[in-house]
Amino acid sequence: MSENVVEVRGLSRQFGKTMALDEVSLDVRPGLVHGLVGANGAGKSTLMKHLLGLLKPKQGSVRVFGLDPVKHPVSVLERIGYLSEERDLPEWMRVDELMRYTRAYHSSWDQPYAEHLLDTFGLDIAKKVKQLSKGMRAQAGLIAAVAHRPELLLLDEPSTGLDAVVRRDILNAIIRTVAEDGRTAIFSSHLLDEVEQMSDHVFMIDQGKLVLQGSLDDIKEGHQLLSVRFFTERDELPSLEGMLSAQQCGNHWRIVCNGANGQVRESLRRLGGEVTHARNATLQEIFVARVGRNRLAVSEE
Amino acid sequence: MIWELWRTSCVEWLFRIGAQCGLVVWLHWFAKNLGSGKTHEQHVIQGLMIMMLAMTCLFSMTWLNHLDNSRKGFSFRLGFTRPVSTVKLVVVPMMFVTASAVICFLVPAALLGWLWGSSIHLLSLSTGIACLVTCFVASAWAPTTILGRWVGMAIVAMGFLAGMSVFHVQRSDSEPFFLAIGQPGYFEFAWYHYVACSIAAILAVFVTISGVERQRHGEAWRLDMPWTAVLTKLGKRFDTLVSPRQQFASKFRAQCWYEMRRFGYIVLLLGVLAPFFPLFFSILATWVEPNWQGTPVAWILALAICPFVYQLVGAEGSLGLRRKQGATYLSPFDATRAAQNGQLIATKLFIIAACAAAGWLWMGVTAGLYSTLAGKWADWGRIGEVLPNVMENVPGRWRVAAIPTAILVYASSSSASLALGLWLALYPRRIMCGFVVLALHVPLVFWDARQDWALQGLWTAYGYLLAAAILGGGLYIIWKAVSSGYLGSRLFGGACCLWLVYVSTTVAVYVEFVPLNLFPPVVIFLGMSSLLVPLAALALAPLALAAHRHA
Repeated sequence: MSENVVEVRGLSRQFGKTMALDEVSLDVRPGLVHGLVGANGAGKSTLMKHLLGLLKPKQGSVRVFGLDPVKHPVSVLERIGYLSEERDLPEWMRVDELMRYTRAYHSSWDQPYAEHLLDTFGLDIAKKVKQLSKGMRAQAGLIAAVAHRPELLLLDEPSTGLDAVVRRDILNAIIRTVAEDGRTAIFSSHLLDEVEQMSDHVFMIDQGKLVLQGSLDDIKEGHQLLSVRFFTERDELPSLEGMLSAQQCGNHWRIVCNGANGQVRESLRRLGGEVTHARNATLQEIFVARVGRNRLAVSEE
Repeated sequence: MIWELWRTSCVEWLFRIGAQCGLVVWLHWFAKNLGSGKTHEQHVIQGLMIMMLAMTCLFSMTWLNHLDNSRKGFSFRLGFTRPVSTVKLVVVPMMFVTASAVICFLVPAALLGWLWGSSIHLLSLSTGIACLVTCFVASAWAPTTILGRWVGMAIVAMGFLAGMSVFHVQRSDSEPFFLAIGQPGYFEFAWYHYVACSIAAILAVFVTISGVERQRHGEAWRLDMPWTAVLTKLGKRFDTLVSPRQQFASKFRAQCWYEMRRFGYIVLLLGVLAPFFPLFFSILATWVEPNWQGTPVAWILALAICPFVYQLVGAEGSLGLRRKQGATYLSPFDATRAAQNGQLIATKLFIIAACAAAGWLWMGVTAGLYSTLAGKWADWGRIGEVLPNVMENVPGRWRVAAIPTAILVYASSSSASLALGLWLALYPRRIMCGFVVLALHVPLVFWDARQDWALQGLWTAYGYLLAAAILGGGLYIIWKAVSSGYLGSRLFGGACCLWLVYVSTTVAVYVEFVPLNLFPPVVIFLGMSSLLVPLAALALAPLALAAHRHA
């Protein structure tokens, strides 16, 4: 078996004229929590669906546990826990029926763990899914996804519908538990503080392209936010190598740069600017710099 | 609002009007070619056409879509948060639905009148249709429960039937209803008919506005009748009864339970209720004509037809597709089951077959019980004599082979229905175009028959082409399903065993009973290639499911 849990190579997918995924290649290493971030419609769910075999690669390849998820759905899906964005569960099922039914498909089902989670969430097992609130559905779906202690946990926007307490304490605990057991979790979200809090590794997707990937620490260390003051007023800045975005506030500019920020500093100095403050950029700032409206069309290292 | 309604229904509108006009033209041509120039026959055909046009307009998809039972009450709930008064929110879509139904009727009906050269009372018929559609829409939108919706619709339907009966009796026509409605002046309304229709429609609009106003503010009409409590209790009892008491021993059992809950009990319920049709028919026929001896025929017909009815209902129910924002899709919950497509399909086919078998047996038991209790066994006499003689002539090995053959044929036809349903959701236009092309051949066949088969070369070429398509397509489907892993080797092996029995039995029967030199080579070639159909049909449903599951 391959060392990586997931291997995606040159994956492209087009829906009509929209390029949902464009030559995406990535590896998912075991034992880590991977955050998949991107704006709405960036291609996060499309990528997830490819990992589950719900979309067949038209170009490129997808391997999960070294297998093609379309050709080997049983071997792949048995080892995956998945929570869909739509919280799609049969309305007529009772919570206990949902647990029993899901259990039949997973030999590794951990009943005490499932009961513990049911207690923690305070879900009434006699209730039908249609009687549950949106948040409760998410909780029921989450239990069904994690109670068999999957080797790979895929959560598509898991926070949607969960209140702040559940999101902070329980979701984090569940995802951490999965990773600490040596298992792998991939979760997509556009709540960047949440991704920053929970992930070890980040994949950033924009318009179907993987624009950034790496460990969270490396990404944050590799990106700097520079506050720059210019002595003469400037309306615009030229494109500088390594500069990702620039935002003007009067004479001051907030510049996010990556890689060779020494080179950026030197270039700014030559333009008559002075760096008044520098710190590591947050994931939110990096995301906005990479996919936001203020990003620059500059060459990157 | 009108743009929104037009945008979501214009394709269906144009399709319906086009299809109905096409049907009117085709029927006119067909009736002419059959030499049906007599006024009497013309009235019957015209009457049936008027009824058909009116009925299809009543149940236009424009408002049938709004009868989706997963959404109770008013269909345009999104409008509740718009700055629009409830009156406008209700009246605009209601008028649109009514007007669209009337136009869908008017265009083909006017064409019918023009082609047949007879005057149809379009104004009175349109008024009647508008009134009925308004009442139906009111019955669908005003109640907030499914039961309330069906009760409302049943009341409207009964009201319509009562109204039609009174109207027919008032006209004091000596002819039966279906003959009378084709006559030119039949639907001529008096002023009080228009007044009655208008009052009914206005009442329906007011009831709907009142009901929707309550729904907009989170209230509902409640009918706390005794039966509501009883039904709730029965529902809970049913849930407890069918709920699994312990863990499922295997994936297959879990999936069977799931499919059974999803659609199996509906097929079973249908199976329990279906025998009441031949039963009532037999009782009614005996009541009208005490010496009626058609009981066996009625029950044999019911026994022959019911498995296919159960199959169609089961196949439709087992699709498990969902609709959201105009898109049809397989729910991720179903799509992420750790099972092969073949296994998921096999479970569906098993439940369809099991429920159909139970329903069929129940039909047989009811036939026996009725014949015993009503003393009708004497009517079965001739069949009772013929059947053992026929069976005696059938060799033992064929009787044994009949069971796996029947299983294969039923499973493969269920699989084909399932595949058609799944693909129809993905490619409705292509499939409909295919059907239209096929239907266009029917008048060609009739025409050619009258020309003493002048196009025999074309039909022979079609025969060879069809045979080649069956062989090529069938082998490709099987190869695709097996090589892509959609159909597992165990399931495929089982299907092949059944298929070999089927092929050897069919060939043996033909060799024994049918002299092959009677048929032209094209028929023999077609017959031989069609032997592949059951196996290919079995591989079809996993492929169709894969089209949804793996997109």
